[in-house]
Amino acid sequence: MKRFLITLFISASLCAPWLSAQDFSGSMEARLGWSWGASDLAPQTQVAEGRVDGRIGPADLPCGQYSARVKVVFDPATAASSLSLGEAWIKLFAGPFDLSFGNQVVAWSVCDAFWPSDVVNPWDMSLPVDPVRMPVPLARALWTCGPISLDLVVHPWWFAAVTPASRWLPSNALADAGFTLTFADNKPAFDWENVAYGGHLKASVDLLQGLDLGATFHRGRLSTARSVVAITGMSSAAIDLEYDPATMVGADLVLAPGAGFLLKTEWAYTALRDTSLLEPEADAATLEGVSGLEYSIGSFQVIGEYVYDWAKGNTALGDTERHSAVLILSGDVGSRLSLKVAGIYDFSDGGSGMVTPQISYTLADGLSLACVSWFFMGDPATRYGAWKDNALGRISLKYSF
Amino acid sequence: MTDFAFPRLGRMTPRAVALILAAFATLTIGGQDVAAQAPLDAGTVMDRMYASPKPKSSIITMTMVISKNGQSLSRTLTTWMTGDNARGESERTLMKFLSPADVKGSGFFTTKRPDGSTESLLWLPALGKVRRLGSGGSDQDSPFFGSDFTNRDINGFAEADFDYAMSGFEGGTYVIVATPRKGLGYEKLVYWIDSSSWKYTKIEYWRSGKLVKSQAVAYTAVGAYLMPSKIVMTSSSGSSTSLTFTDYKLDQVLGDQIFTERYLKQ
Repeated sequence: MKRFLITLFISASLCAPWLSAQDFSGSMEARLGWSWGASDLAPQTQVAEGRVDGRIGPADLPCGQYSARVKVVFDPATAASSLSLGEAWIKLFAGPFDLSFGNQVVAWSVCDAFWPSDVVNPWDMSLPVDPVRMPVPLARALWTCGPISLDLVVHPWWFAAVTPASRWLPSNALADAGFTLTFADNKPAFDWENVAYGGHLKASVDLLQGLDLGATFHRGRLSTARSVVAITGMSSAAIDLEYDPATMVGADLVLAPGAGFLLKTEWAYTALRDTSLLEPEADAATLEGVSGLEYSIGSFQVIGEYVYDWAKGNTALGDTERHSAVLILSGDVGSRLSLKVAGIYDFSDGGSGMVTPQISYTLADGLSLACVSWFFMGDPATRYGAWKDNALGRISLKYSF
Repeated sequence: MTDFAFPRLGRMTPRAVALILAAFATLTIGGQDVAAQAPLDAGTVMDRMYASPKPKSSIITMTMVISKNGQSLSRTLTTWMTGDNARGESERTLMKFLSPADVKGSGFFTTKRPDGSTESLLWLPALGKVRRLGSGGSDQDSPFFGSDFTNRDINGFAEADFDYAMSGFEGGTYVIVATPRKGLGYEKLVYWIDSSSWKYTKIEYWRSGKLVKSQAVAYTAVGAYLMPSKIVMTSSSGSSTSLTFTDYKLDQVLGDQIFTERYLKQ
């Protein structure tokens, strides 16, 4: 599939002169990173991205558009490089429909720090504090009728999320106890039953300074694995990695009441393994929600969000709940300097949190320097405290053209 | 569902982007072909300036260059605009960034209703998402996009917010001192208004008895209108910001399909 899509990208680039308004652009980014406690700056992945965008048909009234990106990543630590295809799609405008095909990202979420409704694309969680949506091949139809739109997607192929590096994962209790472990990764093969599909209905209402109401449905398989452990002997165990079928229903709301405020809320309920939506089996349902308030003060912006997570438990352990708060301050100082500080605090496990200061400076048009760090606090047994020794930072120089 | 990360708006904060639009509302004051005549009183001159007709719709390309210490940053964008609050219509503006590369493709759509309320949407292609924005915060005196304009300068002033006094009339140009009736961030403004076009060609901004910055405007005739071709705001600190307007298309029929979230994303 990847080879096919890269071929498609190259073909599209070659055909670009026959299409109208093609545009080539790209970026190069060099990164240096450090871990707290380490005394040196280590080169991180170096990234170069190229993209071609364009319209099909007359420039004033196009009948479609296309976009394709390729990314080259070089890892100095291993001297390995890779070429990957990013978003690569073609879109056709047909009356009230926008029909698009190819590698795409679908973003239905309305909140800022967590995205319960974004379930179409798997996530690259290799750096779990900075996850990235992975584009996947899908067919998409967006129907628009005045203030109402319906976005439908079908994605036939299943893709796994990229799991965090080992230092971000909890230790394995069985391995620590000396068990010999065998793993079986039961990744879903292509099958009509595994074809995922979903939709997002949105209605914009002319109320105050604008109100958006949304509803989401999605049926597919999780891109992250659930571990099923079976003890097979006195010191051996088998771990099956299962990717459960998941049915999600969600709702979202954004209201601009005026005076610089913005209210947002978004909730997603997921039933796993084909359990009943209303009466789910043990360990087979989750509810995730975010509610927030945004306000602008001068050239600075403040966002506060409350995050709720619930998971259906079994009779012995009961359900689990998490309550977290997020605060984001961001703004510009002059025309070149941007500052951002974000923090999250999880109240559920005795208190743990993460703080992320970020600064970026525009050296020239298209050339920027950015620095970001992640710090963690809390007891080692808590959500963020477990990463206390993983504090890290990154400096990046990016040129866009 | 996932861990913590933040969508990056780049340097295009919603507040800053939102207020760029108002520039067009204040800068598209059309000219009346009134011959120079005997000096008028200050109120009449300002009436004529504010009463200038606007095109019903416009498509304009704008380049903003912020310069300081010999270095500069620039942005280019295209705007589509229609409607007039003065005629009881909603003013709708859609803009798309053409450069620099890191914000290229981003777009902004705002609807300003006759009652003064504003609805704003921001398209961030890097996130594949349209964000609704809250507007109306008390940040009128903040720099606009890090430039020498404040948000209030860009938004423009209401005629009724000032008392006017004639300071002079020379060479067909009226010099009028405008004193705010309420706190508007300045002690006074001094307008230079050309009596043949009823356009202002210069504004001085005074605060605490000192000239803090001045704005110079050049115009060009586009069809039946006299449109600004370049505005330069120079601060006493030495920095300056220029806005250059090109590719005017005025009074074209802009269909409703342009002023939609769908078109914003295309």
